[in-house]
Amino acid sequence: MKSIIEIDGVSRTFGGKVVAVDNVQLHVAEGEFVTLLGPSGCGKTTLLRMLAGFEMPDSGSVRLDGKDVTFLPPYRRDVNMVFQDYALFPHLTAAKNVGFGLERQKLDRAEIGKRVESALQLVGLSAMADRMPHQLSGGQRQRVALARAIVRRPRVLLLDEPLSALDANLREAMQVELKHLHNKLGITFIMVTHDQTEALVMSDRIVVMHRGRIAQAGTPSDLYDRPASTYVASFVGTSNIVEGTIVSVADGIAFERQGLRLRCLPLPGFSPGQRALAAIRPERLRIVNAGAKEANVIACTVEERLFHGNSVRLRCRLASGEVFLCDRQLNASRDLGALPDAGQPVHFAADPDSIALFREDSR
Amino acid sequence: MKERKLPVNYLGLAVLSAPLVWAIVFMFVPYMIILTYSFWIKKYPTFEPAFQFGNYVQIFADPQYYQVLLRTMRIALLVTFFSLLIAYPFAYYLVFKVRSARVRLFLYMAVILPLWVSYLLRAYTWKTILGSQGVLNSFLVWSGLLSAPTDVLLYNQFSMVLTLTYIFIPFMVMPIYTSLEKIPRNLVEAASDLGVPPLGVLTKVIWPLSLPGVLAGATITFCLTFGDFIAPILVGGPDGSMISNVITSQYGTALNWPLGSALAILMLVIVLAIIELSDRLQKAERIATG
Ligand SMILES: Nc1ncnc2c1ncn2[C@@H]1O[C@H](COP(=O)(O)OP(=O)(O)OP(=O)(O)O)[C@@H](O)[C@H]1O
Ligand SMILES: [Mg+2]
Repeated sequence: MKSIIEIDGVSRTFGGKVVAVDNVQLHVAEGEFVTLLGPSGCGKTTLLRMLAGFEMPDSGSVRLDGKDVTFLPPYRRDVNMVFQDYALFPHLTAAKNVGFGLERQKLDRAEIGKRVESALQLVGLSAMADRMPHQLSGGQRQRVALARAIVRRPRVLLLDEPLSALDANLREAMQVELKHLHNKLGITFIMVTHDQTEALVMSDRIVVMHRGRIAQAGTPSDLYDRPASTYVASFVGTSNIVEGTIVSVADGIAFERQGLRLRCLPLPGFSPGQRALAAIRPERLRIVNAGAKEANVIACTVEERLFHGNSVRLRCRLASGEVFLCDRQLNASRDLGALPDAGQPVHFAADPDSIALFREDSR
Repeated sequence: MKERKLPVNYLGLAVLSAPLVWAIVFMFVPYMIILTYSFWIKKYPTFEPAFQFGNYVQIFADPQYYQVLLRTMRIALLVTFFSLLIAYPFAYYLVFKVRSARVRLFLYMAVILPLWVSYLLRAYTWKTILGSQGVLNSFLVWSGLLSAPTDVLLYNQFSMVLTLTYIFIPFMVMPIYTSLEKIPRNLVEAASDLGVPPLGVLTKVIWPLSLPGVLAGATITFCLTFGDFIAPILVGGPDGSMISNVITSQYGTALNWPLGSALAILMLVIVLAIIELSDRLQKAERIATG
């Protein structure tokens, strides 16, 4: 498929020492919904701002629809942005805010009015057209900002943590709405978030960033099921990470850590004696009896039982001292009693295919 | 419950009493005295109590007075206009173009600092620059642009507007700077993002959002200029006297306190009206933008 955005070897350093974005390589296909995911300060916003034109890269190039826009000012790029705190013009009504960017284009008044009306309708705010921004709720302002950004029919829509200021319920509703909007408009969306659930729910592709670099880019299930590093494994979803040594590579890999021996699927690139990290998702663990004839039985002590509504998280500790988490979905009878209590020993079984192994330097 | 609140009110009154007494003794009472005088009648060599509007009628009947009033207004308007013309681009440049915070502070201080210098000294500076023996004339003659020193630079309305603009421009810069600084940067970015080039961002986003500062600066500058009486003496010349000079002379050489008082009251009313108007505009603006 055709790439609408081509970011090639882009770096940006602030004040000569803070490397915000470090040699980033990213191509985005037309119509894709891509999220930039990562912890605070990893360079998501900086990368997005370079796409918008607010920030110029120190090196590398940015191309939009095949055209080099690396040093083009924002007002000459065919992209629009939804700002984190909306950035609505406080002196203009909702409708005037939405129409702000249209007055520049050579459109007659009637056409502008029509487009503003339909953009407001699209975000369900027709009734609020004449309100001033301070007369709108946070969620409504967010919609105005969205309408303002799409009314010019940009090739690419940039969204910087668009939902972070909304409360949990509204955020979930808006996630769905944004997704629908993306399907309806068919334009490319690039969204910044530090909320992994949001990224998993909304994106076609997630780009996980770490200290200005791309740690991994892939579909949500790619990242979740085949993380490239323990960093990704623990940032996308939750993972139990255990440090140990490879003891054999014949017939699958055997991994050992102070009395804990794990059999994993065969994987190239490992040799006996090597230090390694094993990552196991909490929800892939099964609770078994002490003497169960299973491949990998992990013994620990329950420290805490955390009730999550539809599931329960057991916060346990391994004999070697690490915290180990296990998530159990609650069944129809919601039988908490079957789960071990705090202070009790427990045994988990982990299927070999549920264990991801990483070299120690992959962190 | 109500009784228990009383001591608190007394306390509030006690705290406020000092400034209140101050305001009554040094502002309200003098104004009342002047208001009373303005109805009196001049009977050479003194004046006697009366209640009549002859003094006010005289101001509007005698061109000598209402023309000074008009000239004062025109000069105040010109000073306000030129101050705005210089202060706005300057403040804009400081807030939006200067990247280094230290340079910005330095330039801002360079404008504000003269306020610490005596007013008289600052006005005198222009006298020495513009006079026929002055710096500017010397330079113009030296450079050959003029063959002999000119006296058109000093003692006219031009020199007054120039001097007053110089003196009062910090009062225009400060509120404009403050209001520009309060504009969130992302509004500028949002406008730019929506395809509006820099000039459009200035006229459609920055200017409307800085209007409160412009209004405040214009009000202060106008009122300060309107009441000024030193610049006319130093650099004004015969046709440069302003309303305050006329008032001074009514209390002095002309010895017509009632007329002087009427002029002073009129001036007070004009200034209060302008402040009130500016206040209403500010409120309207605040209601519109939240
Ligand atoms: N204008 C700037 N001047 C100096 N340093 C900056 C500037 N903008 C960003 N940085 C630095 O660059 C790094 C990346 O910042 P960026 O805003 O891109 O992070 P982010 O991933 O968006 O984080 P967050 O999730 O907190 O928004 C940070 O260390 C930040 O301090
Ligand atoms: Mg950010």
